Amino acid sequence: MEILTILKANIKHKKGAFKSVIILMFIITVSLTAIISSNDLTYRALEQAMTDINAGDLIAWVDDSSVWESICEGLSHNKNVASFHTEDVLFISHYIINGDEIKNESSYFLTKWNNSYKLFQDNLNSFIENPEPLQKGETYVPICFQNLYDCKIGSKIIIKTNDGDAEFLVKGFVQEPLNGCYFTGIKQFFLSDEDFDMLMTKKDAAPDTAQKLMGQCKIIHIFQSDSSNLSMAEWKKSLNESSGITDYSIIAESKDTFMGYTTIFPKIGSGILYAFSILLFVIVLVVICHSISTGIEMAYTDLGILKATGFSNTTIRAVYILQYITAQLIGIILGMAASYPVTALLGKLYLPLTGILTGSGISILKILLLLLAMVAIVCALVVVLTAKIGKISPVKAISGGAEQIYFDSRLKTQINKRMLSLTLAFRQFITNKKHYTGTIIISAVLVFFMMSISLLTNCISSERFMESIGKIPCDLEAQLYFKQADIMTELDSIEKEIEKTTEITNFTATSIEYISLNGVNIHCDFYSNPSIIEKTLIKGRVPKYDNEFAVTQIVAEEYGLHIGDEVTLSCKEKEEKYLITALYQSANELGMCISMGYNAYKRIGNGVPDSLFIKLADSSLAKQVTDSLNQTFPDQVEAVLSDSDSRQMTLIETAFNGISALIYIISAIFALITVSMVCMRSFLRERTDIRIYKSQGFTVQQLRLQFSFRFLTVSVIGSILSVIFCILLCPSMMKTLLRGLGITNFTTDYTLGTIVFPVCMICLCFFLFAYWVSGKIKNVEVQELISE
Amino acid sequence: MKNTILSAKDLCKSFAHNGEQFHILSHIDLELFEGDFTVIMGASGSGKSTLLYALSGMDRATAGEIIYNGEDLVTMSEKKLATLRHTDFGFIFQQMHLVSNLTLFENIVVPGYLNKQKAAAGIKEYGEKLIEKMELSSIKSHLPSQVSGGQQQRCAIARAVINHPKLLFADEPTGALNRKNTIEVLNLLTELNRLGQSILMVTHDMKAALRATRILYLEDGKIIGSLTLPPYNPDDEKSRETQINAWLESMEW
Repeated sequence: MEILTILKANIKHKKGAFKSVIILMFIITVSLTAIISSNDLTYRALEQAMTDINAGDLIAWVDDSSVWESICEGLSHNKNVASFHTEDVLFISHYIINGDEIKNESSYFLTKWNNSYKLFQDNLNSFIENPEPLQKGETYVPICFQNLYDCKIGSKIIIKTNDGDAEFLVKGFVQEPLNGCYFTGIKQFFLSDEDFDMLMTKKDAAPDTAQKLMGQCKIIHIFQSDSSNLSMAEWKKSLNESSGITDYSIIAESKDTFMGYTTIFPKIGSGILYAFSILLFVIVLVVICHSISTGIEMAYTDLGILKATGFSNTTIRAVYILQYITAQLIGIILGMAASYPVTALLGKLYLPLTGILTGSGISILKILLLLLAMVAIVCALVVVLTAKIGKISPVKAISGGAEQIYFDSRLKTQINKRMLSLTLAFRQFITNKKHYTGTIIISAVLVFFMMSISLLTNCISSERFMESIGKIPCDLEAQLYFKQADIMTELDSIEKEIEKTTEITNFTATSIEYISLNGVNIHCDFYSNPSIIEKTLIKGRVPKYDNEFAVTQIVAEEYGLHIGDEVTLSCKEKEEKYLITALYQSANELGMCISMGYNAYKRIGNGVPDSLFIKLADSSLAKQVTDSLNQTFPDQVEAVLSDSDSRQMTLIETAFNGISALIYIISAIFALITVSMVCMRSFLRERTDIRIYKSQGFTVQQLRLQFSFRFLTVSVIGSILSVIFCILLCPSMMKTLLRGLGITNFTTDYTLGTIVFPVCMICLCFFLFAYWVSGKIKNVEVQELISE
Repeated sequence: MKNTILSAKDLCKSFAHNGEQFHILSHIDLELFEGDFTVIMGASGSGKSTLLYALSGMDRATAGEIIYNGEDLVTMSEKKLATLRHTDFGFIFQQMHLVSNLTLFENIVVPGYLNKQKAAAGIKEYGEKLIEKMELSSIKSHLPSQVSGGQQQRCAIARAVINHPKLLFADEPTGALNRKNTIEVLNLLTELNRLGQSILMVTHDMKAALRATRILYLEDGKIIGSLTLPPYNPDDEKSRETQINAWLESMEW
């Protein structure tokens, strides 16, 4: 009862600190709950959608009709296969979607509509129950077409066949869990049975001389038997041995790989938000440290009185713990309630990228466990910090024997008449170092935090994101038609030709080869410049020598590979031993790929680089360089400006900008609360001095400026320290933190924006909030100095 | 005929608590004269300190007027009052209230620095004189926490007079001091008054009251009596004490 009475009194009289902890915990709860819940909801919705369409554990696209039968035969005899089913699709290579003409890409498929797919309502908030069947000339397309091609209901899609054009009008948008993600190159859209059958008849219409514009393909969904305990890699190998499925497939990947690819953006976005929440929590801990130690100092006499009246140290400390638990729990409860709309908002933000409509709700249990762990950490901190209550002597405290707040500083600064407010502010600061050290630490942490956030938001640009998932940065791309003998010489001459116009920042020639790794064919990117994967490295180093290569994390997990492992790679007839030097991240082939230098590849393969990616120092000269390359190397090079991803970039940028804005807004609120809390504490401590100054004729304005200048000084010192620490620690800290969260492309670009902006923001916050808080000086009554 | 330095007319101070109105000062009329050492006495809770703070402009009266230099302190702006505090008024508190991170010397000169009419060098020079006068020279660089209560109060007096105030207010300046320090402080105040300093002091200490040239007696927020005395002379302390005691008894003190 006594604890409750004291607790109630403390909460009533120290509302400011109590409210601040509530708000800080509220912000952390909202951030964490929204991140975790939106991830869970996306994953659950995706899994459900996969189940709805009866997606297999392994899904393969096989376009060679001559092997369909043998594959099915092989699968049916494999004891690790529970069942499999196939569906017929048509691949198309020339089509016009809403005015955008696409040629020579065979990654779009047509399939018959069936109701296992969900159709979006116009508002994209829910699905249409029992959608109408498609009529002739109508098509349902994945939701990502809205952003990829600006498609609307009624938009026209023209499919070129060797037997004339077929026109379709978009009737609705579909949730397509396999390839509906914004980032996958493969897309499928849906036709009525009648249209599909009609096009099927046209697939073989190509005369021998013409390019075949359409072909048939089978999607095979294979389910692993319950009795099979093979890993995915082993199972895939077993399937390939019995049916040759991976050898003959355009793509053969596990359901998990498709799901991982679909959720790649939420994962990276969430990674950044997780890092942000961890930093927020660190700030909360620092603020609580400051709050408790100044609180004990200010309540010195009261604590002595409590002890004199029989309160034990444990009871007093229990009051502190309960106070912080209460504040945190209120913050958590309010935060969880508020996170419902924020989770929904994140889901909306992710929808155009994942193509998956998430449900509503939050992952209560998971969040509660995490937040309770945080509460436990705070409690442990309170226990440690309140240990000094044991040292308070009741008699000393009651007789006003509190330790001197001020002490004789060795720094003898003069009080100057001309700059009276400034010199007094400085004196207050240097003679009260202990208290201001805490404030300096808080301002330093806040600046460090803001700088980290600025660096984080810098790293979440669309370009960096694309680099993170293996996209080579370029202003122009070129198709190369070289023979192996002269490839390096030719590349040199291209480089020289470009350098006549501008400097080059990236020049990478590449190609793809399917290489056998452990008996399974795997996509291999080989590069003239293997260091291009540097920004996607998760662990290890870029392959340097001819016997080295890198594997993606997905490949490493699937095949149980590690850095340093020696692996035999073969291509056609040749095979050689290679060392794994790195794990990296790539979006190519849904992440199922390996990478090596061209020289390393040459040991087993005969291919030559057929694509060239060029990034110029001056991007505005890209058109000029493109024209010059096409003129100088008319037979060997076909260069085009790289703008194919601009729409994709815009959407990613919009999503990332949303995350950045969210981070900045939360950071600003967080900084404001923290600063106001610190300033308020200082104000309460210094009320007597303020009264004395007031009684001596200082005006309210003079005292406010004096108070604010002090905090400005403190924040400037904290900022300087923070900038030093940030430059020393931030690159490695953020890299480690973000790599752990799957974000590889983190480079620290120190710019005015990343250094000056956070410093100015925090210093300004300290100054303005100190000024605002000190507005209460008006109400500080001098007569309180009277002892009647 | 003495000049009036400050006057109050129909001065009231009241506050409401739980819907009930409490009157601390009730329709007080009063004049303070140049060169007087005026002491306000009265029982605890009679409103002595409230009157002192109202007259010094540190607290606002609820009604009435306090005229200083032709201006009413009751309606004066906060900024003007602040200026008045470092130009015309000085204040001594019972608990000294020195700024704890300023040295004794700095505590004295800082209010002087606020005065725009005076040069820093002049203030420092006068500060040194005061320090010497208060016998604080050897400890002038000490912080308040490093000196005795008496030394702190002497410092507070020096601070209060650094701007040559026209009127010095003192709220029980000896209330927190021992006997020896009390005498030291009272001697200083008497000396200042002898040099022409007008003083208004609140006290309930007979030893302090002896130094007054005029005593006002306050009861229930009203001045019910006034006693005028000749300037203090240590030689006739005894007869002075008898006279004041008799008067106080008549006030039912």
